[in-house]
Amino acid sequence: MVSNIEQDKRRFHDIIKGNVRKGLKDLIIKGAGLPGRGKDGKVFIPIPRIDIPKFRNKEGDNEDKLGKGEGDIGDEVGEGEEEEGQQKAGDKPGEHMIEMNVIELADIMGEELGLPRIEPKGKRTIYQEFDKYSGERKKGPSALLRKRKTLKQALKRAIGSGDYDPKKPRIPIESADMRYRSWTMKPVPESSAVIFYLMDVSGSMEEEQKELARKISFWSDLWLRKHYPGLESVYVIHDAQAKEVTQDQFYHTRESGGTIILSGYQEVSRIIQSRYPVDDWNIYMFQYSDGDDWTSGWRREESGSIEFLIEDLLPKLNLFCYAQTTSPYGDGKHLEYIQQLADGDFALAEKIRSHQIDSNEDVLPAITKFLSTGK
Amino acid sequence: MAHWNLTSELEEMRQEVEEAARKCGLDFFPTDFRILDFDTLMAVTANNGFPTRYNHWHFGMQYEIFEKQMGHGFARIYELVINNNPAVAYLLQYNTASIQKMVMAHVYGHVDFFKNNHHFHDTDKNMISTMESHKAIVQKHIDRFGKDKVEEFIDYCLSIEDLIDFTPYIKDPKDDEDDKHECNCGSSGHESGGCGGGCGGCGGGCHGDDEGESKGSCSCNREEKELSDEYFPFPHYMKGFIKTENIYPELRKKKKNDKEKRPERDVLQFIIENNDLLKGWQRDILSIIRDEAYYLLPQMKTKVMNEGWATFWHQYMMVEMGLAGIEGVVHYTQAMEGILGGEKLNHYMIGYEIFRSIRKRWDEGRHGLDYENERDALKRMKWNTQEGRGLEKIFEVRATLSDVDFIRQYFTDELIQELFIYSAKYDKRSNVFRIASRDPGLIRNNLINSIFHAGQPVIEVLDGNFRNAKQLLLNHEFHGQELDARKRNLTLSRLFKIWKRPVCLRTIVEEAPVQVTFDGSKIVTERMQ
Repeated sequence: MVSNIEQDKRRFHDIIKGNVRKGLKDLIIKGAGLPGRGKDGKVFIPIPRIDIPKFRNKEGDNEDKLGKGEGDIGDEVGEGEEEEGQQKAGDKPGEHMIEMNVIELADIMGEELGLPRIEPKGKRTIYQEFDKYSGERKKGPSALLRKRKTLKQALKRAIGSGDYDPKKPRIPIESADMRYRSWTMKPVPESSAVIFYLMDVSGSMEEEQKELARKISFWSDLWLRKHYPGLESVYVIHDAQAKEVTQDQFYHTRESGGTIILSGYQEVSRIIQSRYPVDDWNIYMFQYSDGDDWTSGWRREESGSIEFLIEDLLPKLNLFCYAQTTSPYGDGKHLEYIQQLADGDFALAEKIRSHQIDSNEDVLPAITKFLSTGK
Repeated sequence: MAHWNLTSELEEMRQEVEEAARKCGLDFFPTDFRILDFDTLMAVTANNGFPTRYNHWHFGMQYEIFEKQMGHGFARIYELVINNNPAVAYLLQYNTASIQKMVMAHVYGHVDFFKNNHHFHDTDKNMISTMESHKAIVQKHIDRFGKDKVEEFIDYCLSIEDLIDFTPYIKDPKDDEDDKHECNCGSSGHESGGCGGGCGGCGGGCHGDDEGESKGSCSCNREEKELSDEYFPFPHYMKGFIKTENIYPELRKKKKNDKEKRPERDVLQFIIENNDLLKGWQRDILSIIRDEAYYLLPQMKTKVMNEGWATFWHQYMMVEMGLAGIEGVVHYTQAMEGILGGEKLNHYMIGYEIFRSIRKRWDEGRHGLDYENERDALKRMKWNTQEGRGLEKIFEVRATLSDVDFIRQYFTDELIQELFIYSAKYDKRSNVFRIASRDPGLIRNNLINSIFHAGQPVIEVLDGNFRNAKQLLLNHEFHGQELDARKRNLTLSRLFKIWKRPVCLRTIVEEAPVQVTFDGSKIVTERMQ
């Protein structure tokens, strides 16, 4: 009985996904696409929506409010909104926070993202139909006849055989002249890819920073899995030592201890060597750290992590993404070194992407930066 | 999606409720009840209650938001009523019988309000079919000009959809050409008076005061064009580009005496009438948006009263008239607790309590000078003159007022104290709200401020030929709250797409008057004086 709503809903989804009406892109509030935690421990995800701007009064974060009940002046009557963390762009923070199917969200979040620099590697190649009329055949249905081309062919033949008389330009068309449009089948090689997630779980990383790192890996992981069905993921955590863990452990481990980035790099390198031959795999690596490296700084020459990265790891990788969180303990030099690397060498610069993460708001930009294909 | 008519059991119930409602003295349109499943109810809600709206993504978005919010129990909806004749009411399928009964009683309260409150007097009582024809018109334009193009224009219009005149009577300039010379001060004072006399927009002009001169020179309207014909010494194609009153002071004087009206608040109508660059289909769209905005306006202005009224009557019928029955009363009380309970103030609660208090006061004669002057607490408590006009009085109130006046007049100090209402301030250090005051006057003012002009800024047109270049000049009537700068700039840039020439807005930024202009490429902010 409600005649318009299904159409309108589909249209709304199309707009959100960026398929149509790209002019509205700026008004879409994706709520930074981040899960927030509700008071009862549920995970809430904002509904993406489009905010049509109107003249509105400026709103303070926490204005006076009216309520009902007993109590003396000065008594507490409820918490204020958190100053940080929640989406800021909306009318009222949290108003449109709901649980949402994560795949649905991943879908919406990532229409413009992809695995950058992916190359055809792997053992199998599969053939796919290329759905454009790009080819030409001599036989076909009359609907696809290329009339102009056919006439040209006939003309060529007529001139070639000397039958053509400019005063009486009549050209007989023979079946050999016929040209039809056709589609070509193009082989599309399948690409196999593996993603390494390397996270610093040492004591210098505070829980908040680990949370940010996890958020980035969670969303990029989710999105990539959806769009690259054959994708493999390897999770490595390190403090002073590195070890491979399961996905679940990666998201829930609380470790502490010193920080030696080199150990993580060596572990990744070892796994690549034993399981993922470079010729067969596209290899991506995401590293999360606060940039604290025990053997960096004044003892940097002994650390060797950067050297190992340049000499051993980077040649094997398609892309190396480094996200650094700000920590009260780490000196944060690692990001500098990595940026220096990228600045110094054009070939390396193509392979390296880095981003500084201070708060929730940096998460989506970081993901976008790491996974944007249009470089 | 599915909908049904009432089952025979529910129909029996409806007749019982209708009879009870008539006994109460409620006067309503015939009401058509439908049972909807959850999805359909959400869909209808997204459409503001209508089965059909024009196609636009924002209904789809609202649907999604409602669906997710309600589906997860963040919000709740019992019923939906459309102001139409016959009225249409939707009930949710899975409610229990006793809830449905309460909802029906509630619905009859709403329909009575739609029929009798004078703010609804001019609303289209055939809106369901009007909405259908709106859909057809929009579809026609979409077929002709393309979905993207029409939809984009609707998007722009939605940015200014609430720039209409909030005063009680919908005045269509075409209708009242005859009494154009009359002072319309009386009608305009109603809502605007609500903010402690802050709205003086019409004051100066109406009394022929010289101070009012610079205000309200809407240059493009019909009357001036007639005058201009007599005085216009320039080539005819310069018409509309040159303000004759700047050249001929006597013309200005004449005009001022003729008609010094307050600035036009019906911005949509002003654009429709005065923007010569609008295409026909764009004018159609603007008119549709404006019609629908005016239709929904009285509901925005009487939210508290309307809900309070309906709640009052379903309570009256269910409990005082015993409609709920012995077994139903438990269910009913639980549901009422859900509606009225909790620490948060809500419309149902305030409106309901006010109507209850009015009834009590006029039943017992607790009003008037004698009562106000009585200082003896005990006597006040026992006060009862057996006046017995309670029900009569609330019918009078429901017929005449809108929320702002309703609260100002009847949300008394005593009632505020009785309900333990407080005003809380945010304490930044500990991130909590703390009770700051229980002063009834302050609480009442806070409440009025929050609902005055539906919580939206007051925007009016000062000039349609600003800078002699047909630029649009708007004014933000300042009531203590500045505009959100980001939204303001975006809205101006979108308004530009409709007006198609530069648009300016006078407003207050950081306590200083400024003029913000969007010239088609950038925002320019100038300080004034």
